[in-house]
Amino acid sequence: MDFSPVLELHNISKNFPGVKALKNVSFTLLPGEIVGLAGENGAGKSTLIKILGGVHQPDEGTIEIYGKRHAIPDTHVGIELGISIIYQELSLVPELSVAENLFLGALPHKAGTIDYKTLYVNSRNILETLGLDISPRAKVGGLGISTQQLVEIGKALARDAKILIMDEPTSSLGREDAQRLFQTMRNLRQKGYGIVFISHRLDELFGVTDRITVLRDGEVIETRPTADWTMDALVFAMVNRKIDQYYPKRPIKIGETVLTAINLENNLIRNVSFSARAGEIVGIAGLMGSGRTELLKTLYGANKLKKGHIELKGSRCKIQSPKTALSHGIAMVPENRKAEGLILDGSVKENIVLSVLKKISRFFVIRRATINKIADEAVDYFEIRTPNRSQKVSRLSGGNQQKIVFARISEVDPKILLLDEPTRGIDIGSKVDIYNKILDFAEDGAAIIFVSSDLTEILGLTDRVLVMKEGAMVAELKTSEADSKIIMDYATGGK
Amino acid sequence: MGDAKKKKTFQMRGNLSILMGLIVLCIFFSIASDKFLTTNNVINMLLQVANIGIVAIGGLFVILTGGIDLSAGSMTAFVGLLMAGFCVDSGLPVLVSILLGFAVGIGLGFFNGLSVTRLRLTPFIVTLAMQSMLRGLGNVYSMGTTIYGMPESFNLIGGGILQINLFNGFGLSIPYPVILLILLFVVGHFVLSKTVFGHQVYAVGGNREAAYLAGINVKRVEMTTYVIAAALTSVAALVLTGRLAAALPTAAEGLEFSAISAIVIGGGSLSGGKGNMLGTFIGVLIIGVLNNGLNLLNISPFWSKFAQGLIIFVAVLIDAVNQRRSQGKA
Repeated sequence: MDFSPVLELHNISKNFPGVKALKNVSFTLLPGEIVGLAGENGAGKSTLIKILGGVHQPDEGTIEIYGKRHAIPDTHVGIELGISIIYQELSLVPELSVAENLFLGALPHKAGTIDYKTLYVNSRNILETLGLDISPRAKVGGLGISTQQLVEIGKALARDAKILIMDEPTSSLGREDAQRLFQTMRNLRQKGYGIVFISHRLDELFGVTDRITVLRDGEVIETRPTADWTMDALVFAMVNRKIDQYYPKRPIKIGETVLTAINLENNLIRNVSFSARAGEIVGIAGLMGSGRTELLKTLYGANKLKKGHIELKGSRCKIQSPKTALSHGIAMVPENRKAEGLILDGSVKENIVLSVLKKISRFFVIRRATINKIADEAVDYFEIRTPNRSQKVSRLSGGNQQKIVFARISEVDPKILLLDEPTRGIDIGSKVDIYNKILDFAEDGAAIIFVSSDLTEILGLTDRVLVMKEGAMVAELKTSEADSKIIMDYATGGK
Repeated sequence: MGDAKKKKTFQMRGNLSILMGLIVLCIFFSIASDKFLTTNNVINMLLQVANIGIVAIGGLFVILTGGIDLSAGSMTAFVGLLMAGFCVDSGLPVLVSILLGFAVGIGLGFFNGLSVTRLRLTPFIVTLAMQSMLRGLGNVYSMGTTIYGMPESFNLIGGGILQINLFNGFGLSIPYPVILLILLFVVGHFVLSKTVFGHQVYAVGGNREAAYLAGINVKRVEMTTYVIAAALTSVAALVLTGRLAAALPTAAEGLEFSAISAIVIGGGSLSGGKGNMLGTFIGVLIIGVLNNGLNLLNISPFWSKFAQGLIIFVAVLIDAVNQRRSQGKA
């Protein structure tokens, strides 16, 4: 095998008005190698990817592919040169078959009609390379999310790409599905593909890459073989400050039981009972689709309850809507902040006061000064980085958006806080900020129900872990006595 | 604070381009016709758009939540016929006739709102059906004829004129509908920008799911917007009937589209969450100036219809270009 680099970047610089997005970035990718790209939001990762994809043009520097200098003036040239970028959002047509999706735009044809025989043969080859045991005739819409992700990678292979750039492909996958993706990546590595892998989950970078390059403020800080990195060194390189406690711990007094769920049941959850106490952080683990999100939404009144009931501080409560939930001091940070958590076109301040409009009004009228005061305090307390409180939320980074959701919720002074994947897709700095705020809530006596796919996070923050599988609660563990293997065994039914 | 000022200038900038458009139109027509920029003509122009404006205020609430109300035109005619009919044919007192008309109008708003929120039907279809039903019912009720002969007091709000003596001999005659139009816009602006309900309307239109999860009673907010729209439509019915001193089964045809046009020209988005009262008011004025100006130049009203369409197209285009540019920056 030829071991000269498949991709070489020399001193790439890129300026946007007012921002130096990339400064002298050099980067090498060998065949049969997986290189991890790490960095906080705004470090320049996406600019770099867009340059490789032909979306942006570098101001300085050169790109060499297979040792030859190339310009990538647009996305088509990028594809022709064999570079394929796999974004986290899937771009598959659910109504079409796997084979049709794989070769979309380049279906083999004979005499004006689609040559299905060739199509299926070619598709089978690709599915084999991917290690996917599905029929090329299967409809994509009926496949699981992780399989769809692999089909997306298959599209790159169908275009004969040898350089794969994966932008956070695992952000919507559960742990097991992610493992499947990594296995495929390893297979492709063996077949000589060069892969650039981007993820916010650092343990994944350690698990699958050969080298890790850290970007910060548009510069390459360091590249080392993965074995030479430690978690601490990597985090330090990314944020340039020592995060001495990645999972901050504080002694928090645990009080009386505030929430008791008894035999909760509806279409999505089965006979779930548990309780939570003031100041306690209860983690809920489980695979995607295990009913975690549905349980939270049921507690919050957004999903209807068929059987069972909820007790708050020992007295029975009927929670028919989020509005009732909020009036009882139950608040939720939803799983998908863009679709469920924020008015994206609204301003920072409008979002912050959204749940307390009535409370801050007098005779139904809200004074602008009142809103401004609340917003300023919240921006300050949650360390929301925004040019001003009237900024459109859609312009802010994921971490700052999530802080706004927390700010909105803290205005209602919650006694029970339901958190659904509160740190997904967020950079490390913001993550630690959010962890600290969660502990603040607990310290103020709130019970916290914490759903996460990131087991290290669950183990690092919670007092107790509940494991869900297929809509039912299958285990309850003390966090001090649990580890990821025990939890995964329960979650997958391996035990 | 500097920040509040920034917000204001930002909102103004959205309205500024349409305001510029309005000014350009005014300059053009005042050069083209010496009759255009006279007190009488300006007041006359405002009177001509009073109904469009009143309906547009209610329509904006509906559109901001992502809905639409196509029934306003027929409802204006139907409620007007009822008010006049109660008075003339049934011999009810003027005030009772008018109040009954309002009650029916508001009831129809509830029907629209319930269909959208409880039966979960598409607003476009529901209000389109309502448009057809009410036009039909109006003809059935009046047997296709004009109802007239209401007492003077019935026509007061639509036809009354406020005389103001400024200084010796110099005075202004302002028709009541014009005063009503401006008053309702001020109230509408206040409700939309200062009250809990106004904030909720923007939230529902901006992101329904997020608004629901933030504890807003989305259905009640939507419901209320349809009722407000119907109530304002009933005001328009009273104004129109009073001004003509007659109720016609064919009245106010296409009024809803003129109102929607004004909202869109004023920066409102049919997908909800975007738009404001000031913009809508300017949109109404643009339509008024255009119709009035072309009329003064003796250009066929067919052309004014064309010009109105062209302006909508340009307004939407400018908005789309601006939006794309600002997204590109982010």
